[in-house]
Amino acid sequence: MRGLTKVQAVAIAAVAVIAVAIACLSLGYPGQSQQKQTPAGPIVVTDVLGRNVTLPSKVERVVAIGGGMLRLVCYLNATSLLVGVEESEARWGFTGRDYAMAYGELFKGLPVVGPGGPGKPPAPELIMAVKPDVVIMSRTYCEFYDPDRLQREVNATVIVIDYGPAGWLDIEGICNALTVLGKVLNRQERAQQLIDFIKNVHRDLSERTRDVASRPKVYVGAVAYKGPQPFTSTQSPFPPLALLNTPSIADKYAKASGFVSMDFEAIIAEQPDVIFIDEGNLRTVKMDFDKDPNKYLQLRAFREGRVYGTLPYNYYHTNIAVALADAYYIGKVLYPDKFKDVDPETKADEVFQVFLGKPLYRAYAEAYGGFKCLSELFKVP
Amino acid sequence: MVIEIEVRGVKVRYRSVRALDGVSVNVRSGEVLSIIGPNGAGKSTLLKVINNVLRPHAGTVLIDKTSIRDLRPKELAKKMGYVPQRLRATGMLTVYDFVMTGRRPHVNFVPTKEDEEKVLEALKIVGLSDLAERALEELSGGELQRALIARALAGEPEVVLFDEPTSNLDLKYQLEVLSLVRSLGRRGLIVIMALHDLTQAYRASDKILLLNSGKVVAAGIPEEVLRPELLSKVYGVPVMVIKEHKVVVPLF
Amino acid sequence: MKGVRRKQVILASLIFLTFILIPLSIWLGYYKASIPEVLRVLFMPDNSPLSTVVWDLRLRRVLAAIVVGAVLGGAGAAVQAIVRNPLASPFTFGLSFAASLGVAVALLILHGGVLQRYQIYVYNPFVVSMCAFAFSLIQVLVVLLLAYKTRLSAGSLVLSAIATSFAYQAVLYLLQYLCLNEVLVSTVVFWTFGDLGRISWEELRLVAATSALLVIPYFIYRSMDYDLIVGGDELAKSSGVSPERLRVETTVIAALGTALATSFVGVIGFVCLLAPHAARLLVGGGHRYLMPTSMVMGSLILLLSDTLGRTIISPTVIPVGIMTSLLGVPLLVYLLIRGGRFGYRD
Repeated sequence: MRGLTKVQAVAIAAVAVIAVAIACLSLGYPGQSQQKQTPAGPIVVTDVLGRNVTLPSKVERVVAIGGGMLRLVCYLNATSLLVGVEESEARWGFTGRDYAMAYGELFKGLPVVGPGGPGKPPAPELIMAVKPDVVIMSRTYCEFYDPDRLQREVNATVIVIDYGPAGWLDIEGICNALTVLGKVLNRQERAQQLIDFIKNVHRDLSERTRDVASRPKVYVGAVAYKGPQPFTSTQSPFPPLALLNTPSIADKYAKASGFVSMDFEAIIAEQPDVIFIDEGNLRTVKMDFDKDPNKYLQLRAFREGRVYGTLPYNYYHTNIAVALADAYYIGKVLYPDKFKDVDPETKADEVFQVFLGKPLYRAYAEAYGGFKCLSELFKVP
Repeated sequence: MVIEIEVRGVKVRYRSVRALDGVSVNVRSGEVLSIIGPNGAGKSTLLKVINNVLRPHAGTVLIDKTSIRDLRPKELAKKMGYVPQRLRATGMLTVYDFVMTGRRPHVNFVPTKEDEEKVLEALKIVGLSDLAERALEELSGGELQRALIARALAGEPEVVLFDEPTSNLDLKYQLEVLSLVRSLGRRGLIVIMALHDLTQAYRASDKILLLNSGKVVAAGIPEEVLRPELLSKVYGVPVMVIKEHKVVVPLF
Repeated sequence: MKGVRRKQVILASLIFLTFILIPLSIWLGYYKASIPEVLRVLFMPDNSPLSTVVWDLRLRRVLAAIVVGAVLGGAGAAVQAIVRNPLASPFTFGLSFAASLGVAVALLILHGGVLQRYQIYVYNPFVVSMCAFAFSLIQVLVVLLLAYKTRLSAGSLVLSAIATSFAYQAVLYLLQYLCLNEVLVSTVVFWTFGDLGRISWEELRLVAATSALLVIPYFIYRSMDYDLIVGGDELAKSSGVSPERLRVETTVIAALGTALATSFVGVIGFVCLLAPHAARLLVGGGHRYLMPTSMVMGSLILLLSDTLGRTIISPTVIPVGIMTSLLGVPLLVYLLIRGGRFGYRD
């Protein structure tokens, strides 16, 4: 062939453009409804995006993708319905995710339905391969993958759930999520049981700490957020503290709620009475202490040994059970007379028992240190 | 001091091309030598060899009976000044700073008073004293060329090499540069120029070297080298030489 | 000469400005104190909170800003001269990618099994820094080797730098995508954010010694050679200066200084572009004044950025790398528009 003439080139281009346009149109744009093949069931739920989702009559095969979704399924005692898990759930170590520590072995035996992890989009082919009835999708995935599109692609009902931003304790959000999921998975009683328990805890903590003569100044350091953080990273408000009606020194300075990077000077200036350190980042703090002990020793709390460790609860979304357990421990440390009857370790196991049917405190303590005073770590030799 | 530059049998190969194929010539203090020839004849290459920028595959260059390869680079730089055809970049340097770089072979750590004086002298010789604080970017073509010359002179060389000093200049500046070149010769320096323009070569030189395809076609005083038959053969164009006005004209 | 006098005045003024900024930076901060108190603690340090704040939290940062700023400013000017490009910097050689790769490797390989756990057990922060430094040096050597194969001209240096940085970048991203989970990825990212507070006294001593004894004196000593090489390799050779040798030495020393600083305080961008540019507009392209001015300018910019980042929305700290970008971008745009051509004549 000698080469295209202008007319030939234009013609080919035009044909190509028209072909692409037809392809796009036939894929359909969001909003175009498509009839599903599953028989219409009588239950309709509204998911967190406001979508009215019609559930299939029987829900026996379930997949949960995205941060926190598998956790809720485990909390609701619905693991028998699982037909696949994200690769991260099996590949990342179980330590640090309460539901994985309870059910991890089960996950290993299930087929993989996608990579998992923040920022990794779902894999429709893999999900489709396990023929789920329902796909529980985290809202965080919706930013880059349209749930309706996923629904069409995997030919299963997709319901979008979230229970608040990762790292926070949005009680109402949690309760709503449990309610909706309870309906979806036919675990309404179980959902109600959990909701009641959470509300009781909320009330209990609130009542114990309502009339307190004086609140000590508290700082929570090295709070986990998207990976390891130094001592100067904190969260405002800190959810377990919020449950205890107690502010942290960061609260008056944080312009908006969220994760905050404090100036060390500010911490020195404020001289908190009690300091908690997220044990997930304990090593980072210890290393910084070893390198630079002077500035830490300017903090009265360090000198007096009033430094305590809390269990990390922000890992692939909030570990609700751990956060509640932390709240009790922190309450015990700050208001010992109000929490005289509480043994934090026992209480933690009680919470784990309710949520996951297993006492996990020992495993957590072995991995991270557990509820204890950290003064031994921060002594200058 | 009278010194002599001897180029002996220099051969330079560039890829598979013989850029210079056995070139020999001598120049003495006070002489102006012009290297002429068509493009690709090897003019710039020869200059680079003499300057020790390029290494020949065969042959040597002697300055005052010493091979240039036996001299340390700084020593050679003290003796030879180089005026390139153009600069790669000017970097917002002032004329003064630029000419000072010509003192580099003499400077140890920091320029001294003596270095300053030599720079000012060089500027005076080329007539750029008033423009010393200007940035190079602001100079006209002629002024920039003069700055390049001043830079070479600042080093107090015994030899100055010019690579096409008049190519980018207006007529007026061409004449200025040529008269400068002649005055350098009168001062006793050795001047070696690669030139395009045959008339300029005729007027400014004491000796001419005619190259073609890396070979020496003729060497000697202008009258001997600038013969119409020779030039026509080398340049491929009929040429007329007017001795009275020292002009070489191509005949169309 | 009038022009020289003006340059001297400008340089002196900048140095004076820096000297004023130092006590100001030491005084400013969340922990309020009066000037006499700060002075007392400076000359007679004790164990009080103010003393720790002033020495460990402020003075150390100020000194780090000055040293690192000078190195970045000087290295920027030097690298720009040897590649004849006002947009070049030591980071053109891909130093930041190499350093990040070093951190990633330190986390992955040196602490292998720990990958499985949520916590990152970094046994020794020095190890991470040294890995970053080592990789930066390897990067530079690769760049030089590649350029050496192609005559070590200015162009070949730039090309080989770009090529190898892309390679490093690709490897880094591949590693992050495949092997590192989100925690490790953020560790690498977090580490690459410049933070002057991260450096310890020992590390600062190391950087200061290397800078004061090697990096800074070398750049100053070679000032005239940088003027030379801008004009062309032939020009340099004709004055007895080997352009290849100048390029190799400058690249290695600039990389050494920059990589060392970066491995301890993380990546701080823009300073090595901004400082030489601003200096060039103030004192022109002659390196005799450009080099020291660029260094002082670097110190000034870094010190200003760090202090502002610490105080603007106190007690929240804006990382210095972000501040330099915030300050740097509009300033750079302004400088580019206002002029100052490097004067390409090819």
